[in-house]
Amino acid sequence: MSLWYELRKGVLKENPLFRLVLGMCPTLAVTTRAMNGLAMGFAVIFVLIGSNTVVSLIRKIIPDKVRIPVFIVVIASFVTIVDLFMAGFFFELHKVLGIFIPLIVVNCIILARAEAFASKNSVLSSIFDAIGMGLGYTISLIVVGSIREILGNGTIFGFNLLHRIGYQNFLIMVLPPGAFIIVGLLMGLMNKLVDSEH
Amino acid sequence: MIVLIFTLTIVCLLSALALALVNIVTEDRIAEQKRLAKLRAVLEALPRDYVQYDNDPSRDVITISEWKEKDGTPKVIYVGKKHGEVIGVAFTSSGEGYGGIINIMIGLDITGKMTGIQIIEHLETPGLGSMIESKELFRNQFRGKSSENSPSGELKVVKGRKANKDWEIQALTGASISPTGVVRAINSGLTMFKKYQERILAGNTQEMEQK
Repeated sequence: MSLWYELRKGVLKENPLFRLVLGMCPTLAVTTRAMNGLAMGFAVIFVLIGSNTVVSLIRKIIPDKVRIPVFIVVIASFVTIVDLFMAGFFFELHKVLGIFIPLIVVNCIILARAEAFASKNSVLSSIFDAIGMGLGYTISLIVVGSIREILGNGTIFGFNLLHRIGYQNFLIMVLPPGAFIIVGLLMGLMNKLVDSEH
Repeated sequence: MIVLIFTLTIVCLLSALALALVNIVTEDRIAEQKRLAKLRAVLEALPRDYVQYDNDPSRDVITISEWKEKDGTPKVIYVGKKHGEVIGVAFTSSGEGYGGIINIMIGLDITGKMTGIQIIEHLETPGLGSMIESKELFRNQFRGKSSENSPSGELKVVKGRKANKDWEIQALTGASISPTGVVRAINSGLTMFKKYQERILAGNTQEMEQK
């Protein structure tokens, strides 16, 4: 079990979104634009690193019976910190992501990593696990967001891409059904890719 | 048992302490960002190059306690002044659109003619109803509109033909529910404004208290 492995597994083999299918709610809701995916991803990376570090640090002194409430308090604290900092420094983005920032508290990936990994492993591997999982999640959100933005709005990160060649917006892509369609197709593709490795 | 309670209490205390620190650091910035966001909306609804006021309307406000904001607090009227005289006002209003409540900022000059609007928040369909945010396609037409000569006393959305009266608003191509929501918000705002017009135009503004 090397640190490199902990970092890498989150991106492909145990990709939170396409392989573990965790954190679907914010994924479906915020990925109408690539930028939203990026911002949401960074928020999740920060919370994951923070919660994994703290959970791993206190794993030996927390009684087993209250570990889940303690994890939730730790996670909720980091989410609130992200929420306050985003409201102070990235106001517009904070407005767009709105309710989904506080909802990171109940994003399954965070608690899942605290319970399944950080509470059983050293601080260093927990941090690498967090970075890997966070990156995997962020990349997935950006991919879904980019595809939906290009097809549904003809732009990428706000830059005009397809309208110059007379593209008509494929509107359903920025609506909720588009999220299900794109995530479903990508999930199938990921399964094919990962399975063919073995 | 005691250990469990003790552990949880300590964890919560430490977390509260950390959050209090973060709050101290970010509090002022968040308040300032909120004020700037309000000011940006006011500047869109009450453009400075059109209504030439020389004060900061986000700080010069009149509150009307009988007229409520959405959250139940007194309505805040942002006032644009030139040499101390009121020459324009801006305030928020909301109306039901296609996807939910549309919240807008309305700008008026002292004759009750509109100077502009800004969409503050909405839940309209992206790429369709959300075009109400577009200046070129929708928002620019509000300058100079007024409900004064309208037979119904209100602004009206027209579709399928050009809006040629000063109380008529052109709908968006393929979307008329969202523009209707915006106009509904304006009409209810105008009605309330007329009710308190004298008090507002008297111009006894107060410094906006910072929350």
